[in-house]
Amino acid sequence: MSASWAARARTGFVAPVFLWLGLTVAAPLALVFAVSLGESTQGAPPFEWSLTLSNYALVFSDTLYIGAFANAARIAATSTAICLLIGYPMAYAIARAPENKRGFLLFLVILPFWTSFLIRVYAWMSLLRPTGLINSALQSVGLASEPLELIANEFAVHLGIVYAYLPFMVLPLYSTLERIEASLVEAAHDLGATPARAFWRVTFPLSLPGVAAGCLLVFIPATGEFVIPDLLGGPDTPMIGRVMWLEFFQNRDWPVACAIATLLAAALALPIVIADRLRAKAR
Amino acid sequence: MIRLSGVAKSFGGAAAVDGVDLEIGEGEIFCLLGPSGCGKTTLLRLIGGFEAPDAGTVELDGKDVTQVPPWARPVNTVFQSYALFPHLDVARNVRFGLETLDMTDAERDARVAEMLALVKLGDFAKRRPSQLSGGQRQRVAIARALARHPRVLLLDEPLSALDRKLREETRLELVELQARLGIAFVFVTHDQDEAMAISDRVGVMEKGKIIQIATPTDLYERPASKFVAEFVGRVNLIPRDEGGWFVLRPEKLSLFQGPHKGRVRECQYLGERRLVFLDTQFGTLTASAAGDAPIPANGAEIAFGWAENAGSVITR
Repeated sequence: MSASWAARARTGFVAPVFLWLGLTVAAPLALVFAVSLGESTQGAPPFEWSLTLSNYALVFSDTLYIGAFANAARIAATSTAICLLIGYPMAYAIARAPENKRGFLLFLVILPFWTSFLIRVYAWMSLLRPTGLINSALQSVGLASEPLELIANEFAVHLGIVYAYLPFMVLPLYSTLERIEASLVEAAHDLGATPARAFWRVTFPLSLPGVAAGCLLVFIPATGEFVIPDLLGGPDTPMIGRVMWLEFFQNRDWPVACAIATLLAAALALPIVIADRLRAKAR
Repeated sequence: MIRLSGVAKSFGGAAAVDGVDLEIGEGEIFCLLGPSGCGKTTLLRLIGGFEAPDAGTVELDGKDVTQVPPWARPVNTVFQSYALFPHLDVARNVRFGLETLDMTDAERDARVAEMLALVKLGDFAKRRPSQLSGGQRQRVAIARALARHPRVLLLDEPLSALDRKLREETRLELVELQARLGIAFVFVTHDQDEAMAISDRVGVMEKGKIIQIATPTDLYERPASKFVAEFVGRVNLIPRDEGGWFVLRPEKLSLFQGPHKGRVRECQYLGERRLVFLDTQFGTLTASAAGDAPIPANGAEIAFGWAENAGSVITR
């Protein structure tokens, strides 16, 4: 009797979740995929239903798209690596801080979310541009004779992505590091391991699930990122998110934009599947 | 072997260990016994090097190691929760401590096999800690700690996570193991039975101080204070006119004979023993008679007494 109650309650709680995911994720994805098989025309909406793979063929044959995919993957990967290098020590320090201070430190990590993402990226624009705060400060103290190129390049894109996504690296790392029992590190010390050795042999391997989660949470949205490359990036290295946006709003080629979106979603599902396999294997 | 002099440690102003002097000999099983919060675990951690004392010195083998970090001390620890590395299999857990020693890989493998054989876990080398029972995990923890051939093995409540039957078996095995290895074991426990059963000497701690160091027999027969008398075994404390108490263990109180009279309040049958609770002029006293001894009826008034040398006198 109680089992059937629990089962019914579970269905009751889970059903709305599936309904929500169906309406907001599965249905739009299906629609995007359907449009990607259509043909572009003049009109509203600017496509006709069809069953052609020509949009995919175009994406795969044009180096602009392939290059934009590669750029996005490369920039997202380096940004993820930088986030990991900065975020790991941060998360470690918070996890090792006295318990009564951890809440405040975590609060500082999520504090930027209190301001809109877009406004924060605009703020970086005003800091980085040739007449911006950083350049005028450098020039006024004589450290630079002319404005440095801080914006409209890959440097600025990396900076923006690392800045925006760092909390998504720190939070999962913190939650795994915080759960590693202090006695394990003490046991390593007891068995002759110096602090460095204890870290690399015990703490770091045990934090790998957090590393994987943090890297996925940064890499996946960074790959499809549109706002940051649009506002901080230059024309030399288009990223796929921005190219997709241009196809959609400037060229009004919805089927090609949808083909790119479908390929991007499929490509980003891959690291999730790999991470999941690794996790299952580790268990 | 181990010598602590004036060792003190406090946390946030509260003294956990408060001026402890202690010497532990080669090949001795020494037990730190006390209620939770008495500072026994902190004292063990001071010996292991996990805490640095605020005052005093820790010597191992005649060398002052007060400032030596745990990874450079010739002692190893069996942690209370065993602290096995969950990402390493049993063999790699045992091997962990050998990797920083000057040995060849073949020697390390041989040592791992030897240690696993010692704790009878040879067939479990490839298991993860999560695939072991509590008793098996404890054996891995012991094998891992012994693999480095420490001069002293520290054990923090090593049996507390085991069920009663396993605990008694493991006690026996630990004593046999210690006799074979001949190294000093320093135990921490709050279980007086455990301390009595396996120790050569016991140090009873209260509020950061060691209040008595004695053999189990002396501790039981001649406790130094009311606290020790009550913490170790059952006791009748009979107030004396001159002050202090006469310490009378229940089995030393004889029933049906003696100068005093008491009323039987209740009898409890425990198998090999029977506890008889008597209401007397000294308060409720407990007698422990053999299980097959005559049973006084509840409410009956009976004589009781004790021999003059049956107990000891304490003043505090």
